[in-house]
Amino acid sequence: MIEIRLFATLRENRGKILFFEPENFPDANSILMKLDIPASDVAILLINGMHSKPQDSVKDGDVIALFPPVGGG
Amino acid sequence: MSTPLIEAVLRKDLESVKKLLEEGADRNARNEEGKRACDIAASLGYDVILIHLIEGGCGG
Amino acid sequence: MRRIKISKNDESTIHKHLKALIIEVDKFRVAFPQTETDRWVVLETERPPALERDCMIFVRPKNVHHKGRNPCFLCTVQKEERMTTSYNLKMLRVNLTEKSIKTEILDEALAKKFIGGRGLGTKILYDEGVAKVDALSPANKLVFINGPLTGCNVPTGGRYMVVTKSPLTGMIASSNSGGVWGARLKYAGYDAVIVEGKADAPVYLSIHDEKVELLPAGDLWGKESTNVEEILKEKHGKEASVLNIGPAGEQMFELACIMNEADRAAGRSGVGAVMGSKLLKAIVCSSTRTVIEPFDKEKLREVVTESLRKIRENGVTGQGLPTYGTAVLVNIVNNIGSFPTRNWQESYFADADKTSGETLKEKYLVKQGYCHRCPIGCGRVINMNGKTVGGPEYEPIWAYGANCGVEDLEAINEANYWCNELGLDAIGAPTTIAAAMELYQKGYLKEEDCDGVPLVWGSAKAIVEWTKHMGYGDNKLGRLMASGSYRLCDHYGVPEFSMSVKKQEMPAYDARGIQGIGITYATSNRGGCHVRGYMISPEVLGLPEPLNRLATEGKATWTKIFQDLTAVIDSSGMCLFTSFALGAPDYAALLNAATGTNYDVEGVLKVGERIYNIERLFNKEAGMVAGDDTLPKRILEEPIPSGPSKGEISKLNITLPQYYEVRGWVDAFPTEATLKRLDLL
Repeated sequence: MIEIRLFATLRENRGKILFFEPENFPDANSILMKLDIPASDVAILLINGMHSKPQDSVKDGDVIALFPPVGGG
Repeated sequence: MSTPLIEAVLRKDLESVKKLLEEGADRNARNEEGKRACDIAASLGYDVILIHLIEGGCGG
Repeated sequence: MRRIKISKNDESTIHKHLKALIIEVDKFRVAFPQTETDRWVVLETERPPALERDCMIFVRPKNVHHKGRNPCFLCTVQKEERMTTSYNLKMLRVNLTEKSIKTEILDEALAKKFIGGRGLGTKILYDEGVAKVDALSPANKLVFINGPLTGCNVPTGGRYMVVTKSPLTGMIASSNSGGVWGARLKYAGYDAVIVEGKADAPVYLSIHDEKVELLPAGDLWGKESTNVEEILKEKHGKEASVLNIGPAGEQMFELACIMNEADRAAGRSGVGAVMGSKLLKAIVCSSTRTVIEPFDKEKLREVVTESLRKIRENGVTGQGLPTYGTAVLVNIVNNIGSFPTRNWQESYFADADKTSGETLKEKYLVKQGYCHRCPIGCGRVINMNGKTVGGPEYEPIWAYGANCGVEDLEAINEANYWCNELGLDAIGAPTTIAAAMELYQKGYLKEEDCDGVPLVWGSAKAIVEWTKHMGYGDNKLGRLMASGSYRLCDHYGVPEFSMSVKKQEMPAYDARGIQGIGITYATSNRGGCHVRGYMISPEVLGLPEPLNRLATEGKATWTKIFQDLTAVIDSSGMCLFTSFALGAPDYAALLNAATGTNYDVEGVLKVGERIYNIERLFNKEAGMVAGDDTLPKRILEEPIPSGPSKGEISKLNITLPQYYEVRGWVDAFPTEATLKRLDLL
């Protein structure tokens, strides 16, 4: 399974943690499309804790974390 | 394949960097090693050139 | 304001050792800058209405006596001009030993050379020999100082700095705060208040425009921040702004901070202890003025409109911070596996989301908190057991949360509240609790040392109760902890358990997983600190450019420019958070329009570099050595054991020499060539 963690405003109407079957999702972009999240709404995309891009591939066991534009302090 | 902007950075030529940026040079264009002008400026320690290559803030 | 250019005639009798002279001329006062080439005299009054060229005036220095006489000299007026600048060009010097309060002129050229705030405050203390004094002695000085943009109609134009020698680090302390106090001081007519000496009994300072007095504070001593604010506002008016120390500062604990508005803090480096050592409990400030006139009003308005647009359109300042506050970082930093956990023994906290900005918003948020003239509103006003109080930032949430193994956000809210009430550094206090928890875990601290509240990982009760013990100093271990994690751990023979640099505790980002912030921590002039070169912005948030957090290449250069531009912002009176949206050209334009300077990007960066270097010179005088620029052993030698950044270690051995090279430093200190280039020689 691919674990998808959503944060901040991306949780609205979607939930916090989702699990997807890896066969249907070869890359991060396919996950964004399934969740109806425009790429421009994602400021930080992590795959297993590393900053990644929508076109990067994903596989079984990966953890994807998605954040909208956020802050600092 | 390099770009005029990257060449100007390699020469440490601040005035040319500024001029090329004013003329609309693409800050994000990469050379054959995949490096942008700002990556090269940073690795060479050219801090004043680097700040011109950055759009947006460098503080908080 | 006006100034006149004069030429002195013969029979000058001014004592040549005087730095600045207040001169009475007939019925108006002038200030005479003591420089050879610059014979401009500033007039603080509109009378007489005009001084003609070639007219003669008598200039008499006030309070100057030479051979029993008050000298006076004859001058010829050369020209007169209108002067506007967003500086007041006036400071207060309060000597608590002598019980004296004097006004001093701030030399405009000096002000512009170091901008204000952090830069100018450090320069003043450096010149006055404060680097060598004992931080808790009457010889230390406290500078409460604004920037030229404080009080101006610019976004976030309300910040001030507290600059002094730190009792925690033994080096320069410059602690930044928001709220409204800084703006009130500016409107009252002062760019800075310099406090010297020591009172013989607790006092507070009251400033209302030109009426400045030292008043007894015996009945305030021992009281907490909210109570002090209530009492002083009752006495001085509800528009007055109150700055105070709590019981922690009164007892001169190294983790004591200075509060204003009861929930804004000049938090770090023990500045509250210095104030307590002088028996100064509070400074209450009010004013009749509400506007600062800039150098070029129209131009400033234009620049501000553009700045506001950028701030509103930027995702961080326009959406992220307003919605979730700084606490939005909890889940980000945790998910990259660089969220120090249990005193940095690990770097991923499974329960982090329970203490996140999202959860804070969902369960406790009442409304946003705003500082003076701020369009962002990152502050959190929360419901704490039915009481509306200032809520925690990212740093105390991390420090009381993951770093103590605690998942209970309600307890974190309460512990943070006690930091505000008692005047404790909300980074230093909880990270010291974490150090104490490691000491307990490893058997250095025993149950009988803990007064019924064992310092165990995950204890919600411990984080609240031990904050109170540290703030009140009501038990032996609490007092030891309030001196900071270094002194605590050193007492038990294991200083390496203190996650600090230069004895100041490091904040909420693991330098093993984020290389650039490690350079910032190691080289910050005030010790373990993230805001002095916030490399998290590119390395984690991708702003202004995304950088690979694990890479070392180029990080030294990036850190330098972040540090230099931050020094400019910290000296200007604006909030650092604007720099997610604004860049060097924006700050240069704001300063130029406000003060009449002529900075371009290189120019403004050079001033920032100058400020960074004068701090380093102060530290050198204070006894800093090259080896002080380092990181704790755990960060240099023990890889992160698990989580997304498993196996990572700090590569400071690679980046530090590169950083010195970019800075033009050798063995941690500026070369003569660098100092000359920066006009510091």
